Amino acid sequence: MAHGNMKKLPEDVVIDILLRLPVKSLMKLKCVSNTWYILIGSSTFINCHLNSNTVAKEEFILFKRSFMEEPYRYKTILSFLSGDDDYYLNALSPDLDVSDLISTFNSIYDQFIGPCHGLIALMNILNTILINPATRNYRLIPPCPFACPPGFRRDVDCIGFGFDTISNDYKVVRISEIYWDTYYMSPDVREKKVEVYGLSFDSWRELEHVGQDLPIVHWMSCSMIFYKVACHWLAIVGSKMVILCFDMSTETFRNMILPNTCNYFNGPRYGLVILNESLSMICYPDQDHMSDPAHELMDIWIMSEYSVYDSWIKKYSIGLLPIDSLLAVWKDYSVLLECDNGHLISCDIKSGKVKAFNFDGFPKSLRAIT
Amino acid sequence: MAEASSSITEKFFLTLKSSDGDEFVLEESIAIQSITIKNMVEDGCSSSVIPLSKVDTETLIKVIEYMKMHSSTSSNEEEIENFDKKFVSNSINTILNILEAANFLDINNLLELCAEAVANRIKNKTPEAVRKIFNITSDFTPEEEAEIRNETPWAFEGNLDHSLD
Repeated sequence: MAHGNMKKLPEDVVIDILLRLPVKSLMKLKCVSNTWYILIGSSTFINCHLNSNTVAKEEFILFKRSFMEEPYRYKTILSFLSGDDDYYLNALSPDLDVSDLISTFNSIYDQFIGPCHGLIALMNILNTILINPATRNYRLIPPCPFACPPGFRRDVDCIGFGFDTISNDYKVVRISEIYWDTYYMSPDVREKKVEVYGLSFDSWRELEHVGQDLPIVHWMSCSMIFYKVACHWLAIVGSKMVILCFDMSTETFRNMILPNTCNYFNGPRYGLVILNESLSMICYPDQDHMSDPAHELMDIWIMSEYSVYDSWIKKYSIGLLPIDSLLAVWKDYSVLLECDNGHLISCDIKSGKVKAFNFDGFPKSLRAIT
Repeated sequence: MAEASSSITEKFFLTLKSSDGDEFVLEESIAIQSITIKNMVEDGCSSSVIPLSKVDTETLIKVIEYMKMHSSTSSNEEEIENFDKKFVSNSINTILNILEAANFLDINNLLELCAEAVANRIKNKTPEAVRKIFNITSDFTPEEEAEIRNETPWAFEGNLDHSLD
């Protein structure tokens, strides 16, 4: 009876409550009324929800994996899993078959970048899709329209994704190199090109006056990350690894130096992550090139003060099972890793405790983002 | 109570009047946790009774209880935490009334406390229960509702709570 007497709550109070609900509850409550359906589905609400600090965020993990359908044909599957439970990964929604990312090669080049202002990018050399984890929708970014002149070829060096807080726009950046096809036996002519895509204009443009001395980006799992205002890529100068940064607002490049005990390109593998809100670098042995057994440890370096070389600290060092690649950091205390056979494991960075999950894909195809 | 400071500052009192006509006298320093009341005081309307036409007596008693506990001078952190925990164990209807009052009176931390509490209480509830709690009549036809449920069947998995509190 008491409920019948109750007056209706003002809309801003209702919004205040709904903003604190997890996605699963919101999707369920869409059918309460037309008003709630429109409200919960509106882009303003979704934006507020994703950027809200008051939301008790479910720790969710987005996985990408590939499966071979037939030789030279791989399909890409996205899985949204809840990490609420430390022992099981529960599916938050049905797997998403991303038909735009079918490829003829195993997608070892796929990269996740984000979440950045609510969106996650999944990108490879050819395509980029932007995923909204709240609605589980994704959208394919139109391919870069700039073609090569006849007789030239283009190699894509790297791609990045981030948010420009000055123009309030999501941007995708692509660095590529155009060169004379050697088939034509012509002199070596090379030019770096940088192209930027802005989501609000839905178009690509070429940057002018690109420095031709950009380092070469080293493409592997976790080698690209967006942090603060810039894209960060692991790159190579000479025989040393550096971090190449591209400021999304000023659209300028610079290099950051890695700790000097940990910058040899021809040795271990590296990954960039964010740990305790600091830019961090994880260095781990490469299983494909069995090297010095003394270097069988996974080292975690944290740059406690952004952009200050002296603030690199080796925080953790863990002995490990053979792993293929680093996937992501989870809840600031464990790392998600892919084993040699394409299975997922996690490892506590303090205790070194390893846990295996019943989750796999084609070897080297797993990627994760939390 | 500190001996030195209280004697220097003179205490001002305000009278708040609920929608049921009941009057409550409250120290000004406590009442101005409400930005709405603070603005009224600054605009010079504090000499007479402040009418709160949107807040009934039952709700106003709770709000005053909250403001007294949260006023800076008297209580320690642990006490406040325990008080808040007990406060949000009121019936969901009471909390919704307090939430509406906190919105009108502009008491931000009370608003947050109640909104969080309501969110926690409704997060596992069925859409039917949420409709009753929020006094909403569905304007969907059964077919439309089935269609919306089919958009995200996973959201309806697991144990859903049918209770109204």
